Formats: sequence, C-alpha cells, structure tokens
Amino acid sequence: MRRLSTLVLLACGALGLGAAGTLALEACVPADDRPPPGKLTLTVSPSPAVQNGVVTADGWSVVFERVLVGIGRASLGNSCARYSDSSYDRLLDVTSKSGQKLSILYGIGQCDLRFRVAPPSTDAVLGEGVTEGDKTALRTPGGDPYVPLGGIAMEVTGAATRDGVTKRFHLVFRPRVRYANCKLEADAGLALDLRSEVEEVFDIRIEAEAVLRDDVDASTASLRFEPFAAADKDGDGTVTLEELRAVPIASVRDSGTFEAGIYEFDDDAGVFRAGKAVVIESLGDYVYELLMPSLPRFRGTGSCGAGVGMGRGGPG
Amino acid sequence: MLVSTEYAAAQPTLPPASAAAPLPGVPVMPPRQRGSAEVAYPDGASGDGAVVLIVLVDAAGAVADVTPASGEEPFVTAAVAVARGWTFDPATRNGAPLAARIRMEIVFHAPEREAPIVAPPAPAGPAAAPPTPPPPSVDEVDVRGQRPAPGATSLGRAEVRQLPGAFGDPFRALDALPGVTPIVSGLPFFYVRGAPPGNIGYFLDGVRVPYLFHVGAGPSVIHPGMVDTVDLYPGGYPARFGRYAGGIVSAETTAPRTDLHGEGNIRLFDTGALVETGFDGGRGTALVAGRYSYTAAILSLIAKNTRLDYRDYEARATYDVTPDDRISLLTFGSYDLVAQTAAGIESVLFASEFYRLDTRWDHRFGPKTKVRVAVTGGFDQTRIPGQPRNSQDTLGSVRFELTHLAADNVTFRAGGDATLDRFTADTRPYADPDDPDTKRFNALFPPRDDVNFGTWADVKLVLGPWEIVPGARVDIYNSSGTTAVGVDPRIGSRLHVAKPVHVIHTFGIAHQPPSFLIPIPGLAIGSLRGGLQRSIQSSAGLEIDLPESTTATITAFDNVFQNMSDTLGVVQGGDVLDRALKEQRSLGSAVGGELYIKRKLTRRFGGYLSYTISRSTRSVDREHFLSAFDRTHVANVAVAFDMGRLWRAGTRFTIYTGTPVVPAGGNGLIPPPRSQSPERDPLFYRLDLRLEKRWNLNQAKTTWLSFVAEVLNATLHTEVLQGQTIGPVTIPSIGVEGAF
Repeated sequence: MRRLSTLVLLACGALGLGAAGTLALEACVPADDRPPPGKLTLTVSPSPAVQNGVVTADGWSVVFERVLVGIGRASLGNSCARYSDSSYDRLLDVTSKSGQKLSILYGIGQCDLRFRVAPPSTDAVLGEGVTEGDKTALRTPGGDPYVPLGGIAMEVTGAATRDGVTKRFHLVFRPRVRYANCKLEADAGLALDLRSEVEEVFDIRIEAEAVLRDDVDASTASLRFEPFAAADKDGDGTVTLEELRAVPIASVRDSGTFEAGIYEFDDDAGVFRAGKAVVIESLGDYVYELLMPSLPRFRGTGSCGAGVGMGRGGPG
Repeated sequence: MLVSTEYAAAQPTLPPASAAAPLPGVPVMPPRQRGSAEVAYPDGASGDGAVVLIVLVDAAGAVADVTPASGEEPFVTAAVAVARGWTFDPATRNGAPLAARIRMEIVFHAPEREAPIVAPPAPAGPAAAPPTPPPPSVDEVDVRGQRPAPGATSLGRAEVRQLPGAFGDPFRALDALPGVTPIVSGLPFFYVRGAPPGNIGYFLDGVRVPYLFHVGAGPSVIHPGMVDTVDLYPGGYPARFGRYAGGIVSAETTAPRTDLHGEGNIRLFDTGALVETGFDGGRGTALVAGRYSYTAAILSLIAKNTRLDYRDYEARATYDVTPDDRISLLTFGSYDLVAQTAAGIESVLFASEFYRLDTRWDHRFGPKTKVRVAVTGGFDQTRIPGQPRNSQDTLGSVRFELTHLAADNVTFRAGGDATLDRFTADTRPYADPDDPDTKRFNALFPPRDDVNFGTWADVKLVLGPWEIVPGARVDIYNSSGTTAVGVDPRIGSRLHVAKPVHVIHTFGIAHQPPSFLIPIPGLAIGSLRGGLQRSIQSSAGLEIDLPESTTATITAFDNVFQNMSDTLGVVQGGDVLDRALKEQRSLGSAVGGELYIKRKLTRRFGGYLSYTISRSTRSVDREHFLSAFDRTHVANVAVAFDMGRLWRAGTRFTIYTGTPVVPAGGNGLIPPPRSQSPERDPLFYRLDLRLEKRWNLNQAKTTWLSFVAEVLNATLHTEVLQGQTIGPVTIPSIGVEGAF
C-alpha cells in the first residue's frame, strides 16, 4: 500500500510538474511592439473631363458614360516599414462619383506607392453602380492583337457630338499595368512620407480622356476626336479599337488636318517592353500601347511609372 | 595472434550492460555477448582482414546460425568457427527473451602490427597478449517477428547519416522513400500517395508536432541525435494513429542510456549538441539537446536589413520508480523568425514557435501487460504573414495506451485520448476592413476551443505464417459548437508465402478535420467548416528478402480522398495563399505502384532504389483533372561506400516528372477547362554528394570526430514549376561532428 501511494504521489508530482512547466513556457515570437503607424487612405476619382464632359480641340463634345477600371493591390515601397498589406482589388465605375475608396495602407517611412490596373480578381470588391455581371464580363477570357488571352482591365464607353453628328466609342483594354515610382512632379522625391499616427488621403485620378490625346506628354497634348470619328468606317456610329487599328498612324500625322508634331513619339528612343520594341503603326496602337497606361494620375496631376504586361493570363 | 571484434561505425545507441532492466516503452534490447569475443588470427593468413557475420541468437542465448556477409578466406572460416561457440544474453522486448539476428564485424590485424593507439601497451614477448576486446559488435538488430507494421517504411538514424542530401536529419530523408512526391526540390513538404502536406501527421513519441523543419526548409526541429527511428505510414496505418487522412510520420526517440554520452556538430549555419547521462545508480536518466543558428550573424553581413533566426531544444528525463514503473518527462520546442528592417523599424515577416511538454507514466502489470498514461501540454504561436498579429494555440491532452499479450500469438492493444486546443489571435489593429482576405482569414481561424476525443483498439494475430492486425478507432470532433464523428476501420496483413517472400495488404479509412495549406503552429481551420475530410486507403505488395542482405518491396496502392481540402492540388493560377483561404473542396484519387530495393547504407557498400509511378487526380464540381502536383515518375537512387581509412562517400540521384501545366487563368480570368492530357513542366533531376572522414579517438570507436561535407543539388539544376524557373536550390553544408 505504501509503495502504491508513493508511486501515485510521484506520478502526480511529475504530471503536475509537466503542467506547470507548460504554463511557464515563455513565448519568443514578439508581439507587435512597433510604434503606431501612419495611415494612408487611397481613393479613386474621375477627372473633371470624365465627370462633366469635355470639348475637344477639334470641337467635339465628349461625354464619358462608363469607365470601368479594375484597380487595386496597392502597397507601400520597401523603404517603408509596412504594417499591413492590402492585397485586394476593386472594380470601379469611375464616372459614378469622386473619392471612391481604393484601400487603406499602414506604415512608417518615406517610400514609393504601388498599385495596379488589371482585370478584376474573383474577390474584387464592386464599386457603386458595378454589378457582378460586369465583373463576370471583365473576367471572361478574351483576346486582342495586344493581349492574346486575358480579361479586361479597363473599359471606356462614351459619346461625342459635333454639328449634330454623334459618334459613340467603346474601347476595351486588357493589359495589366503596374504603377510605381509615383511623383507629383518629375523631380520630386518619394511619393510618401508616412509618419506615426498621421493620416493621409491620396487620390488617384482616372483621366479617361487621355485616350483622345494627340501626344503622350499630357502637358502639351490636346484632345482630338476627329481621328476617332473618321475611323468609323462601317458607319454604325460606334468607334471601336478594331477601327482605330485600321487607321495608319502616318495618315493621321500627315493628313494635314492637324498641326505638325501631333501623334508623335520618340521613334529613335523607341518604347520597349520585356525587351521587345513596341511598334506603333496605327492609331489603335497609339491609343492602346501609349495612351492607355497614362490614364491614372497620382494625386490629380502627378504620374507614375507604368510597367505594362501584355502576356497571357490575368494579373500576376 | 589476434584479434578483436570491433564496433561498426554507427552504433551509438546500444544500452550498456549496466542498463536497468527493460521497461515498457523501451525498444528491443539487443543480445549481449557473454565471455570473450576473441578470434585467433588464422594460420596461413597475411595482412589485415575483416569479416561481417550475421549471427542468429535464439531466445536461450545460443547461436542458432552464423552466416558470413562479407570477408575473405581464411578469415571467414576462422570467424564462423569461433562464432558458433559464442553465447549471449538473449535479446529482449519488454523483458521477454526473443530470438534476434545481429550483425557483427570482426577485424583481424596481422601479428606484426602494433595494437591500436589507444589499446593498453602490449606485454613484451613474442606472443603478445591480445588487446582487451571491446564489447561485442552489433550494428544491426533484426528481431525475428518484429518487422514494422505492414505497409510502413522505417528509417534509422545511423543509416540516414549516410544519405546524401539529408544532412543527417532522419526527417529529411523521408522524401527519398517510395510513395513520396516532392513539391519542389529541397523543400521538405511533400505529397504521400496523393495526399497533400496538410494531411500528413507528424508525431514524436506519440506527441503531435506541428511541423518538422525550421523556416520551412531548414534543418529539422528535433535534434537528430534524439531520433532513433522514423516510420512512414503512407496509408492503412495502425489504429493508434488518427485525425490525419493522408499519412503518418512517426518518430521514436532513442532509448534512455545511463552512461554519459553525447554528440555535437558545428556546421556552416548552425551548431547543435546533445548530452545524456544516468543518475541515482542508473534508475534515472537525463538528456538535454539543442541547436542554435547563427545565420542571423552571417545574413547581417550579406543582407543587413534581414534577420533570420531559428533554434530548438529538447530535454528528457526518466526515472524508474520501481522495477515496473517509469516516469518520463519529454519536452521540446522550436522557434523561427524572419524579419526585415525598414525606416529603422524591424518588421517581422514570419515567425513561429511551438513547445511541448509530455509527462508519462509507464507501468507493467507482469510480463504480459503494460500501460502508458501521458499528459501533454503545449503552446503554438505564429506571426501571420502580411498581418501584424499573432495567432496562438494553447493545448493540452491526455492519452492512455494498453498492450496486453493475451496469448503467444495474440496481442491486444487499445488506447484513447482527449485533446483541448484553445485558439486565440491578436486583433488586427491595422487592417483594411474591406480586405476580403482579412474577412476570410477571420472566418477560417476564429478564436475558439476545439475538443477532440478518440478511442482505438486493434489485435495482432499471428496465425501460422499469417499476421493480421484488424483494428478501428472512433474520433469525436467538436469546434465552436459543431460536432462530427469519424469511424475509422483499419486492417493490415502480412502473409509469409515462401522463405524470402511476404505478401502485404493494408486497408484503412481515415478522417481529418479541414486542413490548411501546410501545417502551421497556432493555425487550424475552425468550426469544422465544410465537414471532415475522408480517405479510403488500400495497398497490396510483396516484401522479398534478397541475397546480400538486400530487401525489395513492391507495392500497388489505390487511395480515394473525399471532401479533401487540398488547396495545392486544385490550384489554378493566382496567389496560392489567397486560394488557401477559399476552402475549395475536392474529390481526389491516387493510384500507383512503388518499388523499393535497399541494402543498408551503413554497410561497407550500401544503397537503395526508390521508384514511384502514380497518377493523382482531383474532381471539383464536374471538372476532373490531374492534381497540380501529380508527378508520374519519381525515382531516387543512393549509394554509400566505405573507401577505407575511415573515408566514406555517398551520392544520391533524384529525378522526377514535371507537374501538369495549368492553363492560363489566374485572378484575372475565369479559368478555362483543364486538359485531360496537359503538357508538363520539364522533368527535374539533381545530384547530392556526401563525403565524410572520421577519426576514432578510442579503441571502442565510441568517441570520434568527423568532417562532413555535403551538398544538395551539386549540379545546380533549376526546376520549373508552372512555367516559372525556381532556383537552383542548392544547399551546401560543411561541418564537424563528434560523439563520445
């Protein structure tokens, strides 16, 4: 009996020691004891031209009826202490209202801002006036001469009127564009300076009218719709990308309708993507390859470097 | 003149003669030789010689058979003749004597040669007395009737030390076994007969271990010196294993030793040590081990803003309260951290840790019955990638195991356990409330208590040449008020049809709660969302004993996985982690065949061939397709050889088929239907090398130092996965190991 009681005592002691030891274990993974971060709220707004319409240099009154944009996956650059990622995207109709929420980022430090325009993901959050049907349509695989297989990143629909003539336009863009190195001015520093417990709101303006520019330099470009109107060869009243691709860029340049220098770009320097030269042969090429990436503007008037992906598939 | 038997290279785990009587839970005690092991130097011989004998020692301690495994004449004849007269204390299991086959190496030194450096000085005279022979040499014990459970593959630590690319870690050698399909070369997560990494359970002495390797791909979280064997159960496993629907990796720690011994290593990236000794006249033992990485210091020289840190510890104490009672404490833990500094602030990118404390009482009721009662406590914690918060699991469990030898050919085993897991998580203070990942994460991993109860039983029947083990287990799962029950029948069979041939069958049903991408401490899907996963596993095969101590196993398997949460297997582009949060369930199937031919790597010339041919498919809704990690062919060939003068070299060649190419889809597209015969990524192959030079520091060769150079993927081959080139993932290791 005594042996048994000793045994039980020892067993209980060992078990108790084990339990106590477990409770006494001290965790090593640190809690998040960093200083409170700064908060950056990103919003998306239409440009005044998208919101109110615009009269082009060649006298067309243009209104934008719908500008659907898959946009998101915003993140802070690596030089900031990043407190959280915001790895989702939204599908927005930019025409619906100003200041639509894009995402909230937390961090500290001076760094770049990155985001992307791309076909919406399965989880894309829908903005005002956007339906699941819109998302399905933009996610449905398709292709064009620039992106063999992909969803739709941006869809611009509108109409232009001059002298009683109305032309509609419906342009679909499939490339994935990553934006980084955002600056308000060319020689400005890093986009962000997030300080602890300070809140900032930055707006990304979508300038859909950029597709009508006659120069890649927004500061010197004019908006022109006449080449679009003239491209409606089938006479159905709607201008499409296919029709723009049928218009040689040289014919637009040399038609005499416009001033010298428009629709130019630096042929000598060229534009290269993934090591391949971008060849601009048509007005469609010009709009798709050169103008489309310039639609988003950083904080209204700034710009970002654009990395364009024309490959297969969805956003990487 | 003579003559000595010598210990083979790898035999650090033999209990000394003074060890206490075997107790429940103690592995087989090998035979111990009585009297002298001397063998006279044969007449007519010249030079040195070595003979390896396979000696069958019967339950009475007599030598029933002696078979030379290697050696040259006249040494062989001399050794066999003397060995027939040896006597032993027989091998025992739980105190009961039983027959055992042991391997002994006898080394002959020519008379004119000097005695070993550490031997006592030889007396003067023409016929010098032989040096005192060391204890009998036993480097393998094959206990008759004690083969692993049907269908299991077992790895011993001594053997794994010789496997190139395993870096001495028994767990790292698992990917060389048949049925195992790697995800990416060098990454120690794998599919087992079509089951994903999240469906593989890891156990150390019956204690659940959340993961096996530091920082996902580093060394194992358990000091290799503590691990005696690792068993892989690829399906139809014994009833005592539950709550995992894919496979079981079960490691057993070394038997406690009462003599002071230890080992250590210093390598390029880390250092580790293990020490064990007895106390109180051999009634108790104490062991401590640990490993620390100084990669942080090295990394700081290369990438000043990055910090990588890992460490682990192990400790064990046993005490024989009475001849029939042993109390044991086993504790181990692991810590990993990856952090980056930006803007003067260090941010943790990933961190995880787990700790376990297992307290056991083993009691023997006479020679036929033993029980084990154990209480386990633990704490798991992980810093969630991309989220500045920690998720924790505080766990406790009790378990009970009974083994009763009802008759000579009937062994009854039963057990039960109850576990409580309390999952908590820090709130996420800095999160975008609209982020779908955050919402989904919170839904998948809610703070909660999970309670599981399980009970199991099986009977091992030996009916002449037929060993059959029917069993079953029942588990009751409860999470956040949701309850589910799993009933798992199991059966294993081994039929001896001819002298060298056994026919093996296994069948089992296994249930598992929903699992995450890979096992992560402190993260388990809650509320039994989507219900239990279920697998129906069956296999049939042959075990054949070939000449030259070589064995061959041929197995065919057919597994069905119902309601499985295999994110990796059904992934179709996009962010894998993002996909993992979406809980896509599938119906899975895996059929295939395996070939495993092996001669122990600890032999003078050893090696193995492991080959698996399989087809693993998934069905989601109405779509039926190949698993994303289906690899039709996976083959490993390894050889290790003794080059003499204590140099040992080894090489391993691995080759496997590329994975099916998933059609372009991704987040931006509604995925197109998958092809039934998709293109595949290019096949991958790699070559691993290992070279070791050992210096024995005493005559018994129990104290030694080794220089070990090893490299995984020495040929710097890159791997292509889903069109993306990875690597080359090449892991070099140079270091010094030693033991006493």
